[in-house]
Amino acid sequence: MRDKIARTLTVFSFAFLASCDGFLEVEPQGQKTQEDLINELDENAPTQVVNAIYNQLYGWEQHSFSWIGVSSITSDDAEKGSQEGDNGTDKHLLDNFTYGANDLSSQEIYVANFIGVSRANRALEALAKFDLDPLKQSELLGEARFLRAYFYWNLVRCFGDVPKIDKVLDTENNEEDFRVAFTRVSREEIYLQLIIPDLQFAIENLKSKTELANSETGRATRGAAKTFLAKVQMYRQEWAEVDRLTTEIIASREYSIEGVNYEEIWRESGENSMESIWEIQARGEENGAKGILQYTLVQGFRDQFGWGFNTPSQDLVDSYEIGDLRKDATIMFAAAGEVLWDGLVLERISVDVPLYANEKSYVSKTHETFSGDDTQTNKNLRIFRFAEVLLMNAEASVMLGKDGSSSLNAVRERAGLAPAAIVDINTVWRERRAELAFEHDRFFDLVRQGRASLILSSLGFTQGKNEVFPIPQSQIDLSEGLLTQNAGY
Amino acid sequence: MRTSLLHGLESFKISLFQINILIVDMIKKTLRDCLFRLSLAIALVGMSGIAAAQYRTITGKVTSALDGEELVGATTLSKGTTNGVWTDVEGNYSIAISDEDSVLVFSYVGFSQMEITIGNRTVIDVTLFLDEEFLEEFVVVGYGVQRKSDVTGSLVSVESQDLVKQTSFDVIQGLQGKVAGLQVVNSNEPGGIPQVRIRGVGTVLGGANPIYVVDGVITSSIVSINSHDIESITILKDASATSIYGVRGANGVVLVTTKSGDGNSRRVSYSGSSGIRKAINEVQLADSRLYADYTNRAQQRVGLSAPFLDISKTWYRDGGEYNTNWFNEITRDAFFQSHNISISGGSEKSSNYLGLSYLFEEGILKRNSAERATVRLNNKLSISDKLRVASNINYSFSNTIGALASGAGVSRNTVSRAFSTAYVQAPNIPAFDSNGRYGFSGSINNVGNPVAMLDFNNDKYWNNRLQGNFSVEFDFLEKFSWSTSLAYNLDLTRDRSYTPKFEIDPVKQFTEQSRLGISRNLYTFWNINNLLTYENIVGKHSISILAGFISEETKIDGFWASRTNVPNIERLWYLGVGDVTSAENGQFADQSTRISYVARANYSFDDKYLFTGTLRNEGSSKFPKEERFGLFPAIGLGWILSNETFLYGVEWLHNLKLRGSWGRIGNDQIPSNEFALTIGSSEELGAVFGNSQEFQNGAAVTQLKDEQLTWETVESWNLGIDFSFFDGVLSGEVDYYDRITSDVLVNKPIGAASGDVDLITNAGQIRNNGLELVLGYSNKDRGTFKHSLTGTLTLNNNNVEKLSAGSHINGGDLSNGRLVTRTDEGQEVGSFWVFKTNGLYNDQAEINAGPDPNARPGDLRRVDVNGDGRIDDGDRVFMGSFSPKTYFGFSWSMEYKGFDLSVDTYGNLGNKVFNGLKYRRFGGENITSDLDGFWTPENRSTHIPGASNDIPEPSDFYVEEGDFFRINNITLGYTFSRDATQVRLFGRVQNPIMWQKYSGYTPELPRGVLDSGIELDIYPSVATYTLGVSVDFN
Repeated sequence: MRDKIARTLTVFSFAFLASCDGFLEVEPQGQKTQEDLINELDENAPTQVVNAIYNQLYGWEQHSFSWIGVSSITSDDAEKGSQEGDNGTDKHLLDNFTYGANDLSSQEIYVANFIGVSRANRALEALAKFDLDPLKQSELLGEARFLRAYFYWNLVRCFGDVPKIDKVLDTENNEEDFRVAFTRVSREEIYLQLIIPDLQFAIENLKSKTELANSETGRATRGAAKTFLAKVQMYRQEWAEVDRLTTEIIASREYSIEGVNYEEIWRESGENSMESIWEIQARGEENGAKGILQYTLVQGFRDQFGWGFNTPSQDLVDSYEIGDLRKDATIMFAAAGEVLWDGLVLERISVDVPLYANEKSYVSKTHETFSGDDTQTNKNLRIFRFAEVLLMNAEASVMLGKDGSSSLNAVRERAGLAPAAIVDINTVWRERRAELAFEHDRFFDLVRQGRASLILSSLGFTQGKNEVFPIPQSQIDLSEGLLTQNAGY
Repeated sequence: MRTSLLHGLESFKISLFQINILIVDMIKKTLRDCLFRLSLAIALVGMSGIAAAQYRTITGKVTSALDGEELVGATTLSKGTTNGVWTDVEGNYSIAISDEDSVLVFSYVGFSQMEITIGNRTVIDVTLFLDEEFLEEFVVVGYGVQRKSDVTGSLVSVESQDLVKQTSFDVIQGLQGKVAGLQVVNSNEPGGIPQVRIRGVGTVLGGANPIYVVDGVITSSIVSINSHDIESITILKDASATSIYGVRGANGVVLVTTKSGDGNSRRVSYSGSSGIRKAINEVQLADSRLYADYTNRAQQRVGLSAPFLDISKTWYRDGGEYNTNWFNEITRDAFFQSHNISISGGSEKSSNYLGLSYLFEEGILKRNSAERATVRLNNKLSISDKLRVASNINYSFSNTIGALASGAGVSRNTVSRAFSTAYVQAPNIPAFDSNGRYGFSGSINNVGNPVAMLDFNNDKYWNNRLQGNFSVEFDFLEKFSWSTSLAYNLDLTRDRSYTPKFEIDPVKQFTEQSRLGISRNLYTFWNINNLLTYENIVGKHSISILAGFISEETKIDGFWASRTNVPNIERLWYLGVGDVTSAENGQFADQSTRISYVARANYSFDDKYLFTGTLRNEGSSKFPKEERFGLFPAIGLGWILSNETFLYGVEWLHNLKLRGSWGRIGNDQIPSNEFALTIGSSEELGAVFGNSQEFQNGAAVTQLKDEQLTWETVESWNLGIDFSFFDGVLSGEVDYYDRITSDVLVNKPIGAASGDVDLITNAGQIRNNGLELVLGYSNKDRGTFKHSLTGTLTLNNNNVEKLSAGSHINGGDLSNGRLVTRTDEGQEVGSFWVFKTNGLYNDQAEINAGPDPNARPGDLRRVDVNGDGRIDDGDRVFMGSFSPKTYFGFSWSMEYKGFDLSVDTYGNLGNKVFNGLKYRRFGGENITSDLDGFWTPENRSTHIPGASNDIPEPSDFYVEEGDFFRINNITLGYTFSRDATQVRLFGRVQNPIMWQKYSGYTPELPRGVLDSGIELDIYPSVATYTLGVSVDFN
């Protein structure tokens, strides 16, 4: 009897042992694995993989405070803004070019864009595994490569030479991958081997704006890829290419600035207009707002609806020609108590708050869709506009010794200005400043034009150093000596 | 003649007795207490033989209350004489007594002495009960009980009477300063859980808490257990004691044994107390005048106009002049009460215990309180002399107002954010203005009204927790026993957060609409233990062996939801009332399993040489297949020198024992599936498309994972000496320990080009080594005045030995992108990492000559430590951490004629505190009054920086010494009894006085290991004044 019970208990216990391998095999609960994604029957899965790359564009590090600092506060168009002492960590250092390799903003830009690159690479890898209609597949691949090019273009503009990552890396277990992740290759190589082939692939495989369904606006299109490639070629001073691409876009008649009120472009009513080539879409609805995190709030007028960073400089205010409609559309005259288009009266209370604020980032809480939460607003970020295509076309024409006046004057005409008396490179550059102020272009544009030192040195810019930002020290520390620093930092 | 004969006989007896005492003294040194009593009995028997002829005879049997068995060799003594006998092999005695003798005293080793009045009986049978003091000689260890003298590891046992001294939700708080190697950081929140660290912090990723084992069941918290239901707590510190808990033993183990009924006795007890709680060590903040002066200067310094025209007249917008003490506005003297009832009883075959409790505690912060009710039912039943069953069931219900539960049982006090607001709001703003409206600061600063913050906070959480286990024990062969136990734990937490629509200030303190958020979190756990034990004594060899198989599963299932536009009426705070279009919700889950094989062998020879060997082979589902199983061995050796013949003659030496141990233990306290790549939430990864801007879901791997992840391993060494002198009057323990954690789990930063910023991996090594000292003095065997004094002292050295290149881990978020701690090679975990300063800049010329062009006169002069001509993070230096280098406690207690008095103290030295309160000032915010005398162009002979609205850089100016010493507890009680009823009245003060070097509220600042020691919005220290009564009906 006694033995029997003992035996029963032992068997009872060892019954667990037999199944223990399975018992310890616990799959993640409530979370899909990569295999689930590939194997699942959801036909939207391939699209979702690409959507997740677009998702990176909403990131705080990608397009918000740090990007505003690096791409705009550095320029002669903008001041740090806010109030004395509130420096947004390092925005005062960006304003006067005293930032270093340990400062936050350029670190965030480096990290965010590489994460974007990685998300694109993962999507490209996954797309190859899905059982897909080849047409759909190449279209999705085109979007992924377009977006990868966008992240890389930010990286080369900000940092010059950077590591070239065109696949999913395993830096923890693979030494070669570790080396690749920390070895910089030349900016030109990134252009030639990554950005340009990606954009060419995109041009060949993406739908045109007209082909794209209304429900898909915001996805990369052939026109967007051509515009993007034109801008890249402009940075590389490949003027014939710029001319060819912009001429093609103009000839396609898919885009136009006619009938598009400049002032209205940045309002909800101006979203995805005829002029729009690529915008990051945002929604301000109460049930599920999605926008670039705090993009509006960071730049909102300090005394009334925001933190007040990135404010128009006096130099910009003074740079507009008399009668230029773009001046009032770009700048809020807070000190003058401007009445905004939605009836809101600006009231400047604090003595140390800047006189001006950025109007292109403004969202009306009363006359536009507003969720009640100003961390994510309906503000679409306008990346490429047809007006810029016209200006690129004008610049290429000037550079190639052709007449660019029709493109340039179309832009001027919309701004309420008379045709330019002389169309030379300086007129085009001046027009670019007025047209594209506060669109994250000016600083990089000055560097591209080779005029950064001339124009920004009074603000602290050092030639041979501040054309690019420092490679983050934290990244160098992790690289076991592989990652090098930019000159001067 | 008769007299002389008697006298002669007396002399003979006395001399015989003296000889006997001599013999006893000799033997005493060779044998422990039990043998001493035995030898005394032998001597008395010899004596009684001489005396017997003259007296009458009483006979009887002595049995044990424990199992009814006869007690062989029990002593029977006529009270007040030296006349005594001992029982024979059947437990029978026969004693001859004189007519004057009226009382017999029965005693047996391990049992309470019993006195019986003889009357005119000639047969007296006696049942003796187990002696509690003797029980102290046994300690609870992992999966069993062990004679204390046989223990080779480092462990400390604390008994019930010491556990109920403090009124707190979590019994551990009462152990502060009483156990060497155990660091307890107070929580002053109602219902708060103190932070417990055993022998330093050996990990980074947050899992630094010890595990708790309640009646054999592993759990992460004991906040649901009433301290009055606890019989004893054992703290296991070294590997020899903890490696039986394998992959969860690394941070130490706290074993909790709850009460059970005593056989054959019935007992009803009530204990209740109530009192008030008050804030102590309040920080003086600037008054309106100093505030206005500072604010003006801060503006003028950067060329702006002064906001206050006259600093002595700081009018509010209603025309009134205010000098608000915001701290007083949000705090109060808080009330608390506690009631406990226990009923226990049993028979020879069964024992039962029922415990009921209720505890209510207000926070010193208004609108913040916690309450808890518990029921415990413990039963034991002997079905036969070979088969026993037992069950322990505990149910607790609690709720906390002003806090939300997040994670597994960790409270997050949401209303305590009112403190950080009260620290910085301007004193010239009223809590309520003359019209009864909430005061608001307008453009002068960006701070809300803390009183309004409290008034509009409706956060609350409820917890229901059922813990139970059932066990069967079967002695299936002689010396072999099998036990199977099944434990189940169910924990349901509900959160509710409601904010009405309100507007205090149109810009910064308002809500657009009301909002209700709820969450439900269900945690379940079961385990099955199968244990086989074998015990035997063969001659001088004593051996016990344990082998077992354990399996367990933990599941978490939680969801949350929210809606807006819910009316401000509590009975309507349910989701269905809100706007359906605003509904948001989500669900999360986690599941993990473990399988373990345990084995332990204890062997002792001749009560002198001790050996303990432990082995646990454990598999955890938290790690990938190849890394899943780990082997955790440990060895402990002991040598009881005082039992050696060469020390027989050393009269003052009562006990001397050397202990040594080595072992490995693990730590797997990370979330499940940290090795598997998963797809993030589709809502968080989607994007908006289309002219009507519709959201489309996204799917991506957002977090990189280490596919070869494994647990942290602690290699632990321990060397210890236990000693007691002069019959136990002086006793103590000294331990040296060395704990090296390798494969430390860290969120290791990785290159961004790999696609993530960090990943959880095993990278690094942390070492904690130190010394523990316990000294006790006790005069307990000398008359009516008993008193004892105990001191504990712990020295700990914490150091990060290794970390992979560039992987320093930053933490200690001060907001605005400022981080103040860095964990790096050669430093303590969570070290403060700040700029070094060297006085103040007095003028622009000094700045121009220095490395910091953005500085202004009056600013701290940051030192260019690396000499590169500029100031950045490369110039930061390490300045120590939150970890104390020393902590200690003294306790004194005495009893005299029904009075009892005890005093407990605690202190720690060598830790640092970052004064976030002083640091974190934005424009127009208030300052602490000790900044009076700040730098101005006219007042340059000061070390206090000039007034400024700049967000400061973290510097050594804000790092302060964390040393403190505190009276933890003074209790005075008076006990009187009538018949079988015992009543004790007591008064108690907890934490009345605290001496601290730190200038803020409290240097006790628990948070995660990378964020501790920073005062931002901590609950201030609280003193408690209590009156109470306890009644025992036997």
